[in-house]
Amino acid sequence: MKDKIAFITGAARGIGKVIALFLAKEGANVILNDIDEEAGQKASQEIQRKTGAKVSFIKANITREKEVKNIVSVIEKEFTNLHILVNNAGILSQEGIEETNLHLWQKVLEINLTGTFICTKFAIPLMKKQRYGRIINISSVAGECGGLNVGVAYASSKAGILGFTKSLAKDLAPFNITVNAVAPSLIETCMGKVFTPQQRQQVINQTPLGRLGKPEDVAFAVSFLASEKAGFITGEIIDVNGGLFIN
Amino acid sequence: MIENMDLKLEGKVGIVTGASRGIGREIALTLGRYGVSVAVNYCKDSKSAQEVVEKIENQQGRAIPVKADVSNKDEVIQMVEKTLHQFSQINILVNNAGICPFAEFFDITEKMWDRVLSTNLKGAFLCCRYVAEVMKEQGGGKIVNISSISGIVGSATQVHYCSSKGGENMLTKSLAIALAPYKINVNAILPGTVMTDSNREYYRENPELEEETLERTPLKRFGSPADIAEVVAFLCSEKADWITGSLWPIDGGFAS
Repeated sequence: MKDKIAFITGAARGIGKVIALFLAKEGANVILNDIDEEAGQKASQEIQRKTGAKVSFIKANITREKEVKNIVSVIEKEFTNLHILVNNAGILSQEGIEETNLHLWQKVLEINLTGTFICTKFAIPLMKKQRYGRIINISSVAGECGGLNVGVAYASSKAGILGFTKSLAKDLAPFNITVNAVAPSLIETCMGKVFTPQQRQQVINQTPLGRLGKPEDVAFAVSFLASEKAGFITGEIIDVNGGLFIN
Repeated sequence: MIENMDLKLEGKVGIVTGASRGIGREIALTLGRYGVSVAVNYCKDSKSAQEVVEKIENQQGRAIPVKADVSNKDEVIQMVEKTLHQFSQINILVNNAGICPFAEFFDITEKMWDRVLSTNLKGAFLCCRYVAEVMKEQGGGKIVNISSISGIVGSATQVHYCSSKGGENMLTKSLAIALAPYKINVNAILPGTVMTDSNREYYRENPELEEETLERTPLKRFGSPADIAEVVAFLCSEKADWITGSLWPIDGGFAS
């Protein structure tokens, strides 16, 4: 992955941060994005210190076309190319249908699904130009089998990402751009902290490997998909769930 | 290859079935390159198996050829014993041995059906059965089944083959749950069409089939054995500790 340029959304913390770290470790130049500038800058400094890679942070709200356009033009100006896009930014909802009002539904769909669409749309021209690209979308096991402890809006947004991934894989194959999704179960991050001890235990009990996932478990799979070794894999959903949902 | 994603496979021991040629050969060579000591299983072609062993040794790896018909229980047990005798442990099993005949449905005889099912499905079961016992004792392991996209997409001229691969997919999923308590991960790779000795002749005789397959494959090419082997190595590594019961189509988007 040496000298490849990678852009990771929602990378200030959690899974996104570890993905950025791993790609940097592999030799990629990484560009982190988040809406939280302070945490994002801190994450990018930490990754730079640990890896010596070229690391940048760009604050932007991925649901705003203008801001995303701006990121892409900054990337084009500073790096010329973009090889890897990881659509990781997302928020959680836990509400069932009764408690999900239209506002919540739209907010979750906007960040998780529309944000993924916007980032992809504006990143593609750079990848097409060089006839090479790796797009990895972070979905969720909830998008495949419904949520155990998560809400309808979250599960729907993550299922939307799966359809998006498959369609896009077909669209972009002629340009040698692969598109895949990773579907994790409950991962130990700050997002995962909203679950009660009982809810966490319930997930562990239903997971054959008997533990919750770690951000590293997801980042390993993403790094593999982002590498040249995964060149014949496209349109796939990679389950990283300890056997919780065996599709 | 410019990657340095360290898979930390040095010192592991793996059995690769059907490793004298095709995809299995590439898997054996790749694991050997990552530092795995490889039992190169073959059924008939000892010369080709020996060549694979020598190639691994030439790249400073360790390997032995092991003859066994995977559909024969006694021979599988002997293969496990021979591997243990030589390398003292078994951390990796790649069930790759298989046959891939094409035949019109009304030409499929009972004998042909039995042969395909015993090599492809019973063979994978027997190897899992006896290798998992060793892994259980050792406290863990990785099993990767080389199934096929034909395990999820049907084909008129491969009814027996598709049935065996559908079975192998369910073997993978069920075994993942059964063996999770012992820290044994079980996953399957589902290659799309990879041109090897076992199908090259058929595609040469049926060029329209080649065209049709490429037409349906978004990436517009067949897979190469290396496309498959690198994924096997990843799934055999500790980087994939949290992945089990998963079916990975490696098919250029064919079935997506």
